[in-house]
Amino acid sequence: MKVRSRHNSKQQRIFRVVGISIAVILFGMIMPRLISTTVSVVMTPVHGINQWFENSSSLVPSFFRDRRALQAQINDLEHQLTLSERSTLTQVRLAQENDRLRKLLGADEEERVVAAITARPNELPYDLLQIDRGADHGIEIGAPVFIGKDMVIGLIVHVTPKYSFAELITTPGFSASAFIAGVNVVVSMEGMGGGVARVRVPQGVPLSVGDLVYLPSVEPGVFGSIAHLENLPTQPEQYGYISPDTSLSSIYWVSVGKQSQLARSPAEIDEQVRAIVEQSLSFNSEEISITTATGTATSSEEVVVE
Amino acid sequence: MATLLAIVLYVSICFSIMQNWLLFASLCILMFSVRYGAIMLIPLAIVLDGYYGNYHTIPYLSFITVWWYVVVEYMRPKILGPDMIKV
Repeated sequence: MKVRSRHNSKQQRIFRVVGISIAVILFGMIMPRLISTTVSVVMTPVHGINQWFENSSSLVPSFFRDRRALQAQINDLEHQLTLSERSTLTQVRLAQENDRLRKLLGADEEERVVAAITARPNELPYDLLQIDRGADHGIEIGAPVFIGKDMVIGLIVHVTPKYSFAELITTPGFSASAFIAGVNVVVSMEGMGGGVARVRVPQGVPLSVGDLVYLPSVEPGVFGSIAHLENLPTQPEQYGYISPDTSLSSIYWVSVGKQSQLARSPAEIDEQVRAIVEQSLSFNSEEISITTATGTATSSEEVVVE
Repeated sequence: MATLLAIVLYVSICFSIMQNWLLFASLCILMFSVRYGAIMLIPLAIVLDGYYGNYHTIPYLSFITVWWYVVVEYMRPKILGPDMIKV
């Protein structure tokens, strides 16, 4: 009997506590402003301590805050790493697909020479590299210099039998046509020195940071991406500044194409073509005497000689 | 000593909820509930709901705490035995 009465009293106590609690909660829901005001008074010291914990630069709060921030950063980086791994897979797949399509179209890979960098801009003037391959290895002036497979960084400017010098695209005075992906415009690019090149784009073209810049004359000629924009509405042009993604100090090997990429002016090309044609069509006097003996063919050849 | 431990646990529950350390708060709530019962958690939950303005919508923390109180009151005698519980 005694046990039952204890059990009943306990149940009654539970019902009483639950009833009072529900009543207080319902009262709070009916008059939320009243309970908020009361609670704000009651919680003043707790609120103060909580604010100290969240904002103070003291040792203990800052330790917990830093720990939390680092944990959040770790989570964020892990997330980015996962995304990056996925995009790497996508890149590999796209590269393979690109290679296959290029082979179908008959595009041959350019032959390249691998070279080690023997001097760089601490020993040499900035924007100049010395490599350990020269004319004996098939390198000629104007050959493009690559990092990795498709990132062009400069051209060969001086060749000796055993070594060569490459001038970077970022050298002051260097000028080339560049294609900006994304906005799909061809503009002129100029070296600014200090590892930076600049493209000039007319106002109104929606240039943005991260757009890839290609050198169409070099295949495959990705140079870098736009790292900074200078866009003043009072100027007729906007400027995009490009710097290679890889720093010079971290490069050890480069690959050098065997085909010269030096640009010639149209007049110079015309002159060279004319010289080649004249050379191929020039005869000595004996040949002319033979050909004049054969009727109608001579007339056309005489015209050409004239 | 028991009173001091109860105060430390109570304050820890309050601040860990305010700092959103939910795992630590759950651990403290479990320890507090087993040792001292859950009745004292109800006013804390009501005050915290008021602090965060939950009475303008639904004071879910208070409702959960009332439910937790009932659960603890039925479970405690089975865990600790009837003689261990001081009413």
